[in-house]
Amino acid sequence: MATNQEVLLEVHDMVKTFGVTVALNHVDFVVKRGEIRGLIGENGSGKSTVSSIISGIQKPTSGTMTYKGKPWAPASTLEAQDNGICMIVQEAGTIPGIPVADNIFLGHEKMFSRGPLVNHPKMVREAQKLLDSLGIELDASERTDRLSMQQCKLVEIAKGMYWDPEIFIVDETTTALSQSGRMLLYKIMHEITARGKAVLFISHDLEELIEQCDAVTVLRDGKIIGSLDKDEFDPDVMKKMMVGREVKGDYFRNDYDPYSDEVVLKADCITTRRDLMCFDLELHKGEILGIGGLSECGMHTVGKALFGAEKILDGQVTVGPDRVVVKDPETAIRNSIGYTSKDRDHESLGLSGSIRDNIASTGYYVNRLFGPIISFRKEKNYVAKEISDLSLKCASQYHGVNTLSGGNKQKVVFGKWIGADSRILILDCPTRGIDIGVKAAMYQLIYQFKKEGRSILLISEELQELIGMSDRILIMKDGQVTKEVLRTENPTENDLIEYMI
Amino acid sequence: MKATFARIMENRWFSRMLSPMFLLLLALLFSLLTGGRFSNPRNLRMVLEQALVVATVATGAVFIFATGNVNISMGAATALIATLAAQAYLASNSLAVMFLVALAAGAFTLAVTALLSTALHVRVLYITVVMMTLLSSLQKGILGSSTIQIPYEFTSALKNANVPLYIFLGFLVFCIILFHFTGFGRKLRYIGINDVCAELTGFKKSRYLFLAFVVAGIGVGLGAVMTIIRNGSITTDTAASLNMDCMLAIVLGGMSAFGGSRSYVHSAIIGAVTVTVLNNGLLMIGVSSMILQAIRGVIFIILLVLSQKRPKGLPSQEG
Amino acid sequence: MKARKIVSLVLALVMLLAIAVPAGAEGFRKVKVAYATNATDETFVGRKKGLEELVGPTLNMEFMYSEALSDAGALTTFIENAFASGCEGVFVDLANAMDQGAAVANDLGMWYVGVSSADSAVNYDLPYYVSVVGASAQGYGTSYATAIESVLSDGEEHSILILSGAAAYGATSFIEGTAGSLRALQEIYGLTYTRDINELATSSTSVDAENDKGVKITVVPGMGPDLTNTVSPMLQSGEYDVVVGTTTIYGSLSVAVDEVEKATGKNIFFISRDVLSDTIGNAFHTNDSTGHPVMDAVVTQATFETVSGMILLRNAIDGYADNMRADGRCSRVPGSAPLVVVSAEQFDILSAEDIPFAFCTAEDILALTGPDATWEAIDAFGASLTTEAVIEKFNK
Repeated sequence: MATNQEVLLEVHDMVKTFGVTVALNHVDFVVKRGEIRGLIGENGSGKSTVSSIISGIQKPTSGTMTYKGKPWAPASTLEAQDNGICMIVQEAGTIPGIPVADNIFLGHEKMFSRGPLVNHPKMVREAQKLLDSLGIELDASERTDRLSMQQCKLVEIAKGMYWDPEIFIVDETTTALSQSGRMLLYKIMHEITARGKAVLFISHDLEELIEQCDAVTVLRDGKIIGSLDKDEFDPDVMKKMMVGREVKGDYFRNDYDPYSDEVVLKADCITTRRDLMCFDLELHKGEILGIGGLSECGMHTVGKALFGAEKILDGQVTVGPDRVVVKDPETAIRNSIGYTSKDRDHESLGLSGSIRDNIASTGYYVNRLFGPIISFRKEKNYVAKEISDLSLKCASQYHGVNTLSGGNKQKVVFGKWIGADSRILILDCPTRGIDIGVKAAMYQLIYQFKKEGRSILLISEELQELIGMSDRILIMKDGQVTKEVLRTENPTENDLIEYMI
Repeated sequence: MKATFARIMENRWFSRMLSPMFLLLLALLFSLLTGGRFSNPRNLRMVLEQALVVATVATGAVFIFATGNVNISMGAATALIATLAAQAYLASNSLAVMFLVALAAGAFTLAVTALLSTALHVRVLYITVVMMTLLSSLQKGILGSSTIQIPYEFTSALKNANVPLYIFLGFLVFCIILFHFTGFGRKLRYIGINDVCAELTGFKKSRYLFLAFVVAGIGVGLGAVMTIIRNGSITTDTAASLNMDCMLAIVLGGMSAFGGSRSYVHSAIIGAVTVTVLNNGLLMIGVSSMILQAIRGVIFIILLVLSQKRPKGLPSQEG
Repeated sequence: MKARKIVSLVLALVMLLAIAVPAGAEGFRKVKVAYATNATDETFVGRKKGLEELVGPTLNMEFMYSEALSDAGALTTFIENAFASGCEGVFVDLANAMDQGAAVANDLGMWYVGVSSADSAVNYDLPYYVSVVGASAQGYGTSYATAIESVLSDGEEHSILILSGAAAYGATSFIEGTAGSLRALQEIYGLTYTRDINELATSSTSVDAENDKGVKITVVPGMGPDLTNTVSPMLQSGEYDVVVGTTTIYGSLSVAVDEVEKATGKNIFFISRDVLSDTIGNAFHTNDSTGHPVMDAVVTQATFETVSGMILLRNAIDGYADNMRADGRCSRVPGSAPLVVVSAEQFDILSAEDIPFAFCTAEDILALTGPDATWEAIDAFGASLTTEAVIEKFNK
């Protein structure tokens, strides 16, 4: 890669504000031909904002852009797309109810139309050609809502690639992709940069960026902290730039503290409507039990079943020394179990409510003044304690949860269950979509819980996390445990992967 | 300037105070335009009394609306209960019996509605659409072609003793405490915020919905008694507009139509009084009935838009 | 301060108006009266016109109209608001909530006149309860009898369908209209019914008025659009050749009747209760497919009650309430019976442009006001407005 490549896009002194919040604070940077430039930063750093402005999703408050030597101020994503800048995002970018081909050519149906009618078979053929050329194994006539999340992402990638973009922006897309999907994406990225195009790659995953990028720019709080070329890459340095302070190299645990023999939560040959058939599990006091596997292996159902939120057809879940049967969330909570769902926004939180509404929801009983009357002061303190203990960044506890970043949202969820002093915590993908600084804090917290004698069931799709945090790991496949390994055996990712697939 | 405005809009007291403030403004305006006749104590009392039935039934309905559900049959229920209670009075000549029948029948009718929704797994809204017709037909069937007439001395004695006002105030205090000061109200609101999340927090929707309906049923029973006192006669047209008036009052009074955090018990009375103030005030300044309807419609829409407007939040995508 | 300025401006205007407006025609003080109606249909529009153009200016009265009120609660609210707006009298055209309304008005000190076809006021001794006006049930009975006699006295055999309207709900004018029709038929054919006439009239389901002469007479209850659905099939059977409506049926049934006439080639006699509108005029003047007039007879909604009611209120407000009431209770002023129009010529005379509202001229009205007026005089005047008298009075 030549060091003085042609500059494709330049961003000058860009500022973006939302009301009182400053998302971009006089940002300058360039994108050169033939390079994969990574963009990394914590939540709120501005990395997605800058890419959304470049790709026409929103307009800057002030500042200018130059693209291929001319001023660039796209009015819409379609205009950006027509001019060779395409972006694929973290959330769903496809419309469910229509076929893949329609999604690929969304907005450009005129290409296949004669008069008012659209030649749909032709559209499908063209789409299929595209998918095949990219190595994506999908049927272009398939309805998009029948596809998995990864497949939808691949459709989006194809959609962006059809126009042979000059700049291809990939925003946090890899979290939705499995190994095979990622490999495909990396292949495409390298291919197009070899042809002189550019890629702007935004991700949380430091390892990934270090592996794939030619250069990385670090943002923090809306400002560019610095850029590193490939030969300067160093994960610790980058972490420090992102967070602004020293972040310990291993931010998981580094102890081998034991756990008790006492069984606090037990699944006794439980069969659920789907995924599980005569599944057994024992969680011990003071243990961090990790469960890993592919997304569809059934581990998420285990979490729900142990909380009483999944209908159990046969067998039972029992909790505590008295072996109380957990048949619904109410019983579970009464026996000091807490549960955080993978679908944070829809199941663990009431988004339209305030932070107080959510955290205080477990404290209606303890915050009473007398009889059934609740003390406002007690409630306020109940919430304030969690906010301060968890370092929750918010303007006030009365603000809506939907104004918070992912990490802070998860802190609200934690606050809810810790406030309730849950002795058993079932955490399903607790650090999904959260950036490094907050993740580190959460891992510390989880370790803290263990030391306090709480028991934790950690369900996660990130093997590194499981390996780093668990006392014991169960790997699941097709509703069964295929491997059990202890922390003391020092497992590695390679050891475990074969049991998952 | 813009920042201050934004901060005001986001303040949690703003949404709560918007409707009462609007009501106050309206009252002041009418007072000015009628040279003080509007704020004559007798007139103000009259206006309040006109709003009492709607206010009572709507106050009870707040419990249902807080869970994010809509009950469109409150008026039909009130008419039916009023019919039953009136007959009970005529049969027994006892005020106490009338009260008891009203309360019991009200709670029972609405409890059945809740159970139907839960058992059939049909949304509350659709069940109540059916109930609206069902209860109305039931009332017509019981009433037949006659009108139930309650002796005038009885109803005027109660009216002069301010019984409707005391009933309402008692119910209001009860509801405020139950809704804003206990876990029950908070659970209802949490269900309105996100019912899936609420279930996972241990709040069984079926149970709390049932209880909310029972409270609303009490409101209906009380409203039925007040209808008897105010009207003196029960016909098939009784409480005809209450179905809509109930919902309108709640929303006009500042509560969100979707329930959740922005649910307040006081919305009912504020909304109900706003409607009657409008009617009374506009008639006093000489607006004809025809134009009155149009003006009412316009003001409703304005208030609705204002109360539903949410401050612009940050984009959902992080960064 | 700005508010004070506005208030003083308003007060100044009010004072100016008070001086500027003369004391009114014939020395009447200008007063405001509330009019509570249960419907805002064509009938109401006609009355409003009459009030605005004739009664108001003659008696120096200003009217405040309600929306279509349906129940007692709404009526109470309207009366209270009317009081707040400065009305001194209330005229209520809502039969089922009349007494409740009277009680409220009485409490507020407003003079009260109700409309009903029966003398059924319960709290008639309330001091502010002036009168109950409205064509009496008997009046409706005789009017319908007249209509039937004029149409069916041809000595022929007929089968009659009588639509009893809201008789099943106890509305007296409908009951009497139906009963009156049945009695007239009894006279014409000299027959005896097997059941009581009142029972037949108030039946809540369709019933045949069986009789010893075998004349086919059926009574059908119901009003409004559903009527078409129930009655059309009965007409289609071709069994009936006379349709008598105690409620307004021209709008809902004229098409059905026309179809049956075309299908069977037989004329169907049509008697309805209606106002003297252009539509009805056309019906009288046009011939149907069988060569007969579409409309054979119309019993008009009584309009005198509106005028008499306002005269009574005017006198009460002016301090002559005792003459308007009858020995410590509200008077009953049925006034005129509903008019019966049986031919196109009659229609033309009665619906001419210059016919005054309710067939009363300003002089007629003024003659009934003042310290010497009595409710009996008003009633007598109304009674004098029979169909013949009115036709003679206005026939040019």
